[in-house]
Amino acid sequence: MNRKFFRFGKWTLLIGLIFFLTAACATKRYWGPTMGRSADSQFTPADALEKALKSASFEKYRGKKIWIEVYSLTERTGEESPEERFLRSWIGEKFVAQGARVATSRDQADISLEVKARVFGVHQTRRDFIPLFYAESTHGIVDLHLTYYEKESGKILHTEDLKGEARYLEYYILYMIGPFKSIK
Amino acid sequence: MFFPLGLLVLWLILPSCATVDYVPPGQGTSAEQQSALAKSLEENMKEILFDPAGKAVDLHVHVLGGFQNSLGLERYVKSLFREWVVGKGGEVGPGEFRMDVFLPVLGTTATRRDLSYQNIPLYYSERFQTTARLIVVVRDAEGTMVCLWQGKQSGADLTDIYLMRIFGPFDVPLPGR
Repeated sequence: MNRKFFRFGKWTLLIGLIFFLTAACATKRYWGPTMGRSADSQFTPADALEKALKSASFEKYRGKKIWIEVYSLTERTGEESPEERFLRSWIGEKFVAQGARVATSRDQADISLEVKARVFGVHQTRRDFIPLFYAESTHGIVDLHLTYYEKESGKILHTEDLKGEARYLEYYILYMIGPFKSIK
Repeated sequence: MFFPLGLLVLWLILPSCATVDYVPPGQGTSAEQQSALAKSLEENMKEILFDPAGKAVDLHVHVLGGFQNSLGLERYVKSLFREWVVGKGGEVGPGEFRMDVFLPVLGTTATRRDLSYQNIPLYYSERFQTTARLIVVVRDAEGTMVCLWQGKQSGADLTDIYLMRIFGPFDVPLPGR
């Protein structure tokens, strides 16, 4: 009798726990614009940019003065968007690290580099597998087209395309336990 | 054994839900939107009839669209055309020809589709279509029109498709892509 009661109690507890947990709800929240750009939306394109620039070699411009201009289709309030300013500075640092110099004005440069950022941003997908699973994935994508012009003649020296992707997945089990994170 | 298991799997899949999120400004301009616009511009430029080889071209760009302001789009298009002119053997700067590039339309339309039967979600898709209209006018030093080229109104098309609202996204080619 006691054993039966114990078994019944165990099942009741388990079912009660499942009912309790399935009513749970975890949701990532973004409150734009007061929250600013979300951290996921910042670090995934930054990681993708690092991957894109890994394959690039600026060695051939060692000792040269480079003037960098970045163009993108991102949002802005002034002439240059935050993405363009960031890309210009970051690529400039890569050149300096490999022995080139960044010119302080276009007139002083030996090489003029135009970077067209076809893509510098994120693609986000939310998945709900009610009541078991909830996930938010952020896919950072960078697609750059670089054109090197010789300053004197204005001729194109060479062009190259640099692409990089970074995926960040955050998921919750039973809408309560988590987040479990994975970065690729 | 398989039948109840199948029913259980179906019961689990039915309430599933995948959604593509666009949450500006927390997310910035979506990567898909940028990609679609850039592809659309590059595709349009392939058909320009004017040959700039050996010519000095003074380049001017006029656009109507752009997010929040048109400066970024103008700079982007000017850079594209600079590369195009120099790549074809011409040069950009004050000279014998003036090229005015008009971009009265460059934008995106997003369409979401849900197909469900008696509340059973079977199909969900997000389609991103861009529309671009490009006009190029070239005049010589005396102001005579040398070339008037108007591209076909066309654009890139990106679609994410999900089945049962959980499997996917599948990148399915669409007619006219």
